Amino acid sequence: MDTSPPDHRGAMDRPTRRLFLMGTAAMLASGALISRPLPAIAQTADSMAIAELVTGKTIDPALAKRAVDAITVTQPDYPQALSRLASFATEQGITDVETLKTADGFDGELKNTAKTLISALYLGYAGTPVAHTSDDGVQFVTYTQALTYRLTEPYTPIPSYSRQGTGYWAHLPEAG
Amino acid sequence: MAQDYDADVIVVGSGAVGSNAAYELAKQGKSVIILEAGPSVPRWKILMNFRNSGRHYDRNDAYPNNPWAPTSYQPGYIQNTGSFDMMPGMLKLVGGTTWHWGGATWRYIPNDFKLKSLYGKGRDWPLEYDDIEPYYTRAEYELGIAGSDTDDQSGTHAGQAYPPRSKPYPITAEAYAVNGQKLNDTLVPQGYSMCIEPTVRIHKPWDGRPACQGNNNCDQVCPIGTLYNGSIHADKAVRAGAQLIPEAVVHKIETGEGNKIIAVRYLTPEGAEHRLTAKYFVLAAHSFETAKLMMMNDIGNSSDMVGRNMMDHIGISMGFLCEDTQWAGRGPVQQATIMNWRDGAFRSEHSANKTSMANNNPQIDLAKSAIDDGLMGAELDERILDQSRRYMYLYSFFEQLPDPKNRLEPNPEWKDSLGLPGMKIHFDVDDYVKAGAVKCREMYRDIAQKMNPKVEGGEILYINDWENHDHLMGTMIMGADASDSVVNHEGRSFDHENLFIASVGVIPAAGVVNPTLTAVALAIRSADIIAKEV
Repeated sequence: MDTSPPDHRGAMDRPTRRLFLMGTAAMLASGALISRPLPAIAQTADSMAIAELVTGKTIDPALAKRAVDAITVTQPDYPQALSRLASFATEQGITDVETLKTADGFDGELKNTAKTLISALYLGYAGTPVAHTSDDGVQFVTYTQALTYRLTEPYTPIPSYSRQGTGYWAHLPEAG
Repeated sequence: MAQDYDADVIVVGSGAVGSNAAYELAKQGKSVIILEAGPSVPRWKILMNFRNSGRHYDRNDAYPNNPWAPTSYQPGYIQNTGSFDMMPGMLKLVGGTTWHWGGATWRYIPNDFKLKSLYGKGRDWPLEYDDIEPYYTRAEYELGIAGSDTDDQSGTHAGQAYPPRSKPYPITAEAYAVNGQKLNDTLVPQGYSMCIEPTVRIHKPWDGRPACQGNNNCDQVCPIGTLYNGSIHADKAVRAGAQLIPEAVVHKIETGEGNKIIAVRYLTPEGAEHRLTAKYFVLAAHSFETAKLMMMNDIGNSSDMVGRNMMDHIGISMGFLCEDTQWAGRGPVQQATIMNWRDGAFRSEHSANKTSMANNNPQIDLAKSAIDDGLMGAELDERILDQSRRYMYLYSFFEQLPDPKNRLEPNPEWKDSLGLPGMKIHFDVDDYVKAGAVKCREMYRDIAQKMNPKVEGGEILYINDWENHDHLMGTMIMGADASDSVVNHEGRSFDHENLFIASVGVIPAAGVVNPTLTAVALAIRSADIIAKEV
């Protein structure tokens, strides 16, 4: 079985310009007396850029925006944290996740900020699940677009519609 | 002048158990009213709720949770005071909690009915296997169950079909999933007793339900109506003439001459009260809700046993990695079952267990674990793919003994929108179960090793302790003695001769198998008795 991760990215430097813009916004914000959300239009493009950076995959801009918006509901200061991560990547000239994850200084808040976005994109929700309560504040991001499901879909159906027919489960998937 | 009644029989609750009782009575020409606290919701809405929620770990989430009919996960509705957090996934809508379940429909074995006589533990049932066997058969044909006619389901009758059956299963057993087959092929030659789980998840069409497509979503909602739930018999009862009243929250029960039940009163979501009379009454409103309702009205509780003797198949579970590719999450959510510890002399010392492989899609959980570990990029995807490929999950049920100290009570400190109380629960896992879990963990380690023989000790990811399994028995306990039991072998209240309880809550000895089929069989039996008397 080939377990190498799919790389659907186009040009590897695609996030660079957007990250620069986002990093610039962060630097401007850092000089302000009060923090405030980044402009909404800038957020959409920047969300995609940084989502692509931390996942190493092409991310639907609408999905990236939903993820950041959902996280922001659970962590109101998340846009500022994301800007600091973008600024870090810009300053270091980092354009891919493999470089990012081993970069000096990529730890603490910066790493947690990345993990939060990775989690929302891979799992399809933002927030912290709490068992046995209807009210834990977890926010919907996506179901079928969850990156985990996209990764395993050649082997395992996304629960709710398999479309493989009765009895398919008696055999291993053709993909391996 | 003869008294006029609103119905021959009023059934409170439209879940699998109550709806089967209602259908049997309607089919036998009785006028029946079914009162259901929750609304009627079409399947497609539930499915869309599920797919548009990020809270898939909450199996109640796609279902209505109304202020007048809260689910068990409404904050504050169930408050625990014991060492175990008893929080079952209870729903309130037409069809009841079987809207989300694994579909397991086992029979108890004859020895399960004689736990006290044979092993000196717990209680005997006031009836024997042979008394209920014909009703098991009827229930299996009503629910449409796929099962094996050759398996030994006891773990003690190798080579025989057991327990005895008067008719074959209506539908043949489904094919093992790859991982279940692998587990079976590895363990059986090494001394394990395995069988396939009888299930209402049918691989052939039955009674208008389509064949399972392996959508792997039974525990949330079956998208195509293969998996049986109580709404099927609620609908059948209506077609047979029963009146179904949804969003009717029964809160009062009235008694009259001879301590008979004469009426129930229900509230609409707006708080309007209605009164209905009948000759007979069947309470089938979930084993917790029924007990709460009885205690709110001081009904059927001369023994002081209502709400007590609470039992669940409190369990443990293990996630581990196999040597070979399995791809958990393809097809049936549960199937292969290990029965080595279902029955035997050891039951005088420690709990039995039933251990099954669950086959729910594990990928979100595995990905979460990898992300929590800090993996990113290629490493993250490699971990998810490797573990998804080799992951297996086993879970076990234990036989909690009836103990009056494990109980629920109405909790007037929490009220719903109608002013009705929540519940307070005290539950501790008993030493009998704890001793059984020690044996089970030994078995887990042995299985993990056998499924991954080249790695010393196997690759166990985790073993979880003490999990809810929502099999809520004992709260209206059945027995031979009115002083320590709520209902007799018929399901009839010792205190009110026209009141029957149809619920897993009447089960006096938990065994280790999912109890829904037993409760439906008992409900059909009760309905036959009622039909003769009405």
